Amino acid sequence: MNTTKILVLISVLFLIFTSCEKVVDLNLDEAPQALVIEAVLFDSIGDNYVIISKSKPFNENIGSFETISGASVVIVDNVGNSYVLNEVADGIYNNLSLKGITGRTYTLSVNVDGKSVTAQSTMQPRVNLDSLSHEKQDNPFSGADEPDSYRIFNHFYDTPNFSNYYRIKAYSRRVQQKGVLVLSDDLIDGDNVVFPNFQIEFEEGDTAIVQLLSIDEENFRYFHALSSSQEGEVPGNPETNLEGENVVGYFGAYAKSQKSIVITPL
Amino acid sequence: MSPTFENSMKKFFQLLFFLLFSTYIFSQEKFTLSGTIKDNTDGEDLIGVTIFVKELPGVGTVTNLYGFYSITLPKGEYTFQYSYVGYKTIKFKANLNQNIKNNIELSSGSTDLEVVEITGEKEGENIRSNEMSVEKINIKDISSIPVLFGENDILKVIQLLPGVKSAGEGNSGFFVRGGSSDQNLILLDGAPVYNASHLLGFFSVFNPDAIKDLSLYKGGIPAEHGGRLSSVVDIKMKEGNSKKYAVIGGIGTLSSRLTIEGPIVKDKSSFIVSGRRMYLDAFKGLSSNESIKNAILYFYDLNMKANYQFNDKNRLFVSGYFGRDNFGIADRFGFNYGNATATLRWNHLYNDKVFSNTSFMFSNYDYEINIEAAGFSINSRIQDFTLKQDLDFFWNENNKLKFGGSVVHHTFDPGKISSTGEAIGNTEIENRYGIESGLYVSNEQKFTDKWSATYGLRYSNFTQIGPGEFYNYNNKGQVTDTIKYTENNAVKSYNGIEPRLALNYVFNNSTSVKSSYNRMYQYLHLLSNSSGGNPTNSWLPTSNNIKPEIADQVVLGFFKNFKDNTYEFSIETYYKAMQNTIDYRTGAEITLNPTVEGELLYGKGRAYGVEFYLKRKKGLFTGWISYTFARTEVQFDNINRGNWYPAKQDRTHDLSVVLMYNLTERLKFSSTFVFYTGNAVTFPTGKYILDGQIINLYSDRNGSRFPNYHRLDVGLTLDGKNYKMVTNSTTGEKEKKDKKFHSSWNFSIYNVYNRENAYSFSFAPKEDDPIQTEITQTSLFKIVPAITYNFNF
Repeated sequence: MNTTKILVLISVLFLIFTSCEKVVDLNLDEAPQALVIEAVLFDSIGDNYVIISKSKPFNENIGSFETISGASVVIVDNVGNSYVLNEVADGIYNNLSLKGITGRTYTLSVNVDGKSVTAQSTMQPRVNLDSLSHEKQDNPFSGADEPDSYRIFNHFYDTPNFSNYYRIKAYSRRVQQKGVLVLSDDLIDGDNVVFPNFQIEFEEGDTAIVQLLSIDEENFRYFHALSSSQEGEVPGNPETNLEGENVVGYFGAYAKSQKSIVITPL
Repeated sequence: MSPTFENSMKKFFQLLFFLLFSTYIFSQEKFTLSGTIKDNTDGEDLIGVTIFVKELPGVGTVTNLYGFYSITLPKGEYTFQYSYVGYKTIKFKANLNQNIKNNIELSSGSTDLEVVEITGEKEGENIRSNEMSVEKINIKDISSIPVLFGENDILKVIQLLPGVKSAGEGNSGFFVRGGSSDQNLILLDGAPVYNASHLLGFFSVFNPDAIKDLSLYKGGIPAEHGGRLSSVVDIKMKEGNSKKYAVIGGIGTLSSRLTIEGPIVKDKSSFIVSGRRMYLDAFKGLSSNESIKNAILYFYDLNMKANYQFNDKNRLFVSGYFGRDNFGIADRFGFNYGNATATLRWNHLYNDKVFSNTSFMFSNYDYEINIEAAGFSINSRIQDFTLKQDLDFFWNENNKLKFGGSVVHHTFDPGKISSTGEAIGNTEIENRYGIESGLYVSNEQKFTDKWSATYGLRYSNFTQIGPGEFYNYNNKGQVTDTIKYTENNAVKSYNGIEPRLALNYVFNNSTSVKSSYNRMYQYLHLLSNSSGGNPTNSWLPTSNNIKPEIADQVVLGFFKNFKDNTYEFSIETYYKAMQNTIDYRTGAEITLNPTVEGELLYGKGRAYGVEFYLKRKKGLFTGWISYTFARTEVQFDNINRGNWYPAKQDRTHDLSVVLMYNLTERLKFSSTFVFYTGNAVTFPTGKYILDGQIINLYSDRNGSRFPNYHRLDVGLTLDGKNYKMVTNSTTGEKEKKDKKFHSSWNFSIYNVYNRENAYSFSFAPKEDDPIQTEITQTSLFKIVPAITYNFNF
């Protein structure tokens, strides 16, 4: 390489890579600890959990998150049934006989240290996953020595003339989906949907497990706002269906359809 | 119209006519001196030339945007003095016993000592003019100010002025007196430019070789302008040299420019064609990386203008701009965007006193994203057609009346997704249409030697029209019902009454106090939460849900010139109240969202501050210091529990220092220093676990601050010799002879002390340990040197 060429290349690199990223310490304001409630009720028996914990300062990287034991957790449906959830592990509550029924509205009541939090969610009709398929990712930036990565497509029939909202969760023993994926049928009402999941990449030999959750509009709005508020244009705590003081999280009654697929080379 | 409104309108016009006729009725026989003033080397119209009457101290006029002036005086003998900074003053004696036409060409002559003496007493237009909160920049004066990559940029220079704040590192977007970046009306030859930036904001679209001058109005905005809350940036393209052909060019680190101008018919008609291209992609072949080799990365601009003077009374101008940015990776991904504007303008003199300007303008901004790998593309556009009529009536020596009106047809195409694959499907967000119109009248009046005022009124209207389906929303932002409108059916209409007032009290030749008030209506809103310059941000019209934004601003200022006008000093303090300010729901999605209006929240805002400005205008050493202390706050019922909180563009301190020093006749040193308080932002205050992932916990919106920003840039301009020594054939002595070819080198260093100013922060789990979090700061430009070679012949 001659000198001029090197000089030109250096100046170009200078321009392109003049930006830099570095990990920094930043003094952040600390807010009072918030109560965190994650409450999910599925449409099969005993398949439900309420996890109660507390937030911690952003810069605190030692120790785990504080869990809340000894809370009173009750789920009541709109036909008069009441279920008490018992603590099965630190901060995790469950009821083995509770099963979500389509069309019923469930009310969650949590009582911690004299403070109460309530929330409502309605069990939606289940939309079944028809099948899964996979396709090789075409990444212009990946190097030659990296293994091929695969993207999953979810196939299902959207219910016509009905406002469906979906949450899709995918994982394998090796990888977790990054972020949340929710979908409304505004643009696909009644369609035979083939929907790609860009939030997780699988490799050859993985067994991918996918859940298609039919959720209510409140939950859709919550997760939509949650994903766009994390790295999005308007950061903040998303509006939640939990009613109470200084509380974050959600309560959802979900109809679940689950399928898995083994990633074969294509 | 309500009866109270009718009454106040009636009163206003009564007052207007009383003021006008009070001086008119009692006057004796009068005659008019009028004409056009041009530069004698290139024939460019000179804007803002002052014409004084020696026998009547304090009486005078100023040329308008087309170099036209007109002054009406009682019959008599007068000496008129034409002066313009940097030009030789011309005296003209006339017996005004009839109407006289006097077209004048001024020659630049900064070396003429006699002139310095004369201009000395006739400068100080900043003291006498009723205008306040106005900055006029001649492109020639700013060429040596150091800028990023050595790309001379008029929008970056205005960010160094008081009350104007940069929207971010290297960004051509800006905030004026607490307004957001979409509240600036940027006009190129009268046509609005909707996205004034290239390369995602690092360059403005204005090629310095094609631009003549810029006026920025921060307050006391004239009644002829409307449609944005914070400012008007009125940029004029050069007309082109009507004397001789000329070539101007420059070769820079990132881009090169070439301009050709010349007469079509000498002294009657001229043209200018100016092009610029950024060529970062030219170097990509040197890289061994496949994806860099396939990269597409360039922008270009093309400016064209021509004019023809039919006779003394009629002149026609045609001008246009076309620019485009192109990024991508061949066959996989492409992103291009740009503006196009066109202006057809007819200047007509009805008589010596009435100057008319009729213009037809077109403006278009669009972007296109092609993701070929995934088989879909996204398109979006905004398009305007404008018809505007302005009349300048030079009534008498004490009154200058302006009136006119405009109609704009807007088309908003928020976005179309076209797909070839089965995965996504086609989506089209419906177009929106609107008619924006305005009528205005204003008068500039001199009451006494000391008191003068400009007062006016603008009436504006915006009507959103069909066809289309329009949504109503509940207080959670969910669609409650849909209403269909057919073509050209009015969906919703809004009226605005916008009073404008500027008062000036001149204590003496070097001191004045001014005050102004203006009310502004804004009917177009840019959906953006980034700092500006994001090409995919789209404009939304005022609609059945969105009300027009309204701002009232009062300004009080003190102006003082020192040492024979060598120094100009001013203090201005302002208070601005804003209504129907827009912010977003938490987690709002503002691009390609058909129900985006449901994501909006409406509140109010207030901005106030003090601006200090000290400028040295003459001598070897020139430059300025500007400092602004300001607050900008907003209040929304649903954000931060209804408390007032700082707007994103709130900056307490903002300091700019610009110094230029002529080391020798050919060598000029320049430097700028900038310091400002970091923007208000929303940073997390904690974190929690949900679904096995770490989620950031937030408290108040805009409750945190970016670190303070500061930076020093330096530049050195070396002019080539503009003369050569030749032997005079008759005397045999050596003497200087002007060279035709002029050139200069500009060396600059951006961010000399290599400060890593924060551009963004990310708060995310660590890659290798997702249960721990870290804060990553991105800084854009560390030290950046640049070299530019400029020439003209």
